[in-house]
Amino acid sequence: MRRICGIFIFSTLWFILPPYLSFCRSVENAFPAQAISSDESTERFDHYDRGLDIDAVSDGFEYPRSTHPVKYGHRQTPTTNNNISEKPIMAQATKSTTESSQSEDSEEDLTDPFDDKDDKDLPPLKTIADPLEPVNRAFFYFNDKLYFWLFKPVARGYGYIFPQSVRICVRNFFDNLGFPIRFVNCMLQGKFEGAGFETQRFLINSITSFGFKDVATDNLGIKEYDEDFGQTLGFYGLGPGLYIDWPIVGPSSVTDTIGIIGDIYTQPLNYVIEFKYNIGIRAYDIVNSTSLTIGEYEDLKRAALDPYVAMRDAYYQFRQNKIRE
Amino acid sequence: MMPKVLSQIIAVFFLIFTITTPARADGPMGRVKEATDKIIAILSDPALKTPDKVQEKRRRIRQVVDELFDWEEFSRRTLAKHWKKRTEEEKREFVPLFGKLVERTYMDKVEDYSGEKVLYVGERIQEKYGLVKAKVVTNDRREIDVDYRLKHKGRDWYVYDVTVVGVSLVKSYRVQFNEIIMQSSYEELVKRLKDKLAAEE
Repeated sequence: MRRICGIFIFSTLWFILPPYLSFCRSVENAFPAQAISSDESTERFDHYDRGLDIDAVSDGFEYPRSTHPVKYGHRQTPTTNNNISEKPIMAQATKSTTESSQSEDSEEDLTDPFDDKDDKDLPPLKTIADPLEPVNRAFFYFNDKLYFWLFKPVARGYGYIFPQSVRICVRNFFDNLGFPIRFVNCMLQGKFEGAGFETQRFLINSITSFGFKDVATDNLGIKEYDEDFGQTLGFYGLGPGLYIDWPIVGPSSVTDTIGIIGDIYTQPLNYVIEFKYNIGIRAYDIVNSTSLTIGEYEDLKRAALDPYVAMRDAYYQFRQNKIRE
Repeated sequence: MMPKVLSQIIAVFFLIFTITTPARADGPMGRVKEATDKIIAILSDPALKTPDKVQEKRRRIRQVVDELFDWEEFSRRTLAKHWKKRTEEEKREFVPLFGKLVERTYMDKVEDYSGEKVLYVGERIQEKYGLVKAKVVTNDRREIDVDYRLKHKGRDWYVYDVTVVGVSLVKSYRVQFNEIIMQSSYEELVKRLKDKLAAEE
């Protein structure tokens, strides 16, 4: 019965995906570049950047207004009016900055050669769309309290009883159980080398220590290929969609939520173990891993001016980086 | 006779050579490595481990960090488009404020150091920009990717961004600062920065 359910959900996923893809696009169009869009200055900067472009490729020919390949090729937004209003501000700014620092202070200079091509460091900055912010903030607050009032004290107490070495073994054990998810998603992304290494790791770790010790990585240097279904979707060009801060589960996106559901169905243990026991095991896994990472969330909160935004952006950057890997 | 002159020339040559070449290790990686080694030395100095030496320890780490990090470049990249709208005084006020916040974040991460190892994976140089890839191996054998991004300015390389597990410090603050400026004002951002620094000093 369960298996049939799984197959059913998987097949519906494939039906949902194409409309979801177009939904993502429309969402990204509706909420471009996050909060910045609310200000006209974005437009101004956008225009300025394109202005640089035009200078770079101008080839001396006088193009008729409407046929200039660069100037009027793709967008028609720039207006002369905009240009005029921009000039005094720009002049003033460059004047003042050249006084303070001798470095060339152009917007172009903010680029970062080590960023990805599509992720230029220029404003408007790429980040995740968040139209559900009020709801997410409420859940963020809930999760925050949940962590400080429940998970942290429990994990602390647990950490006092069991030494770190034991907790690491437990973490390794759960990590080893995640093999099917990593393997399947390596295969789905065509990372056959990764799938091979994952299989080796699983076999070596399971045989030598039932997965309690990560012999393959520690002693043989076989790296983990941490792939999940959310990353697979990202790998094939599906954007994160909207940001969702789920209660208990924490930061996620629409795509990653689909990914988590997919991962549940690629984990064979979920078909074997009864649901109520599974919840208990998951809770134990969370407590165990929390006991090893106490202090990380506190550091993030301490460093941030707006912890919610910091968390959201960290999540986005972290996932984008994972997909890129 | 001749050998004496020759040895003198060589001696003078060496003298000049040692004066003109900076004592620092060259290249972005050398720069990061040198500073990191210094900080690790401070952190593992048994004389500084007592609680009453905390301030002294912090002061010395701060000194090394200040030498390595270019706070103005940090601020410029973080404020991005808002940087240009700031006046001279505002900039002069903002740079040390933000520098302090980043420094404190760094200090929080570094202070409970307990023998973690830092591996230097590689460096890439592209004109005046440099990227240093490092890995911090924690005691429970997790590897944390840390990338330093440096820019050549004047005679040396200075860090302008640090990326930890793919999360860039500058970008993270840029999103936050932008949101605050857009929703209220730059003054509000400075106020919140000050509050943040004052609250937990």
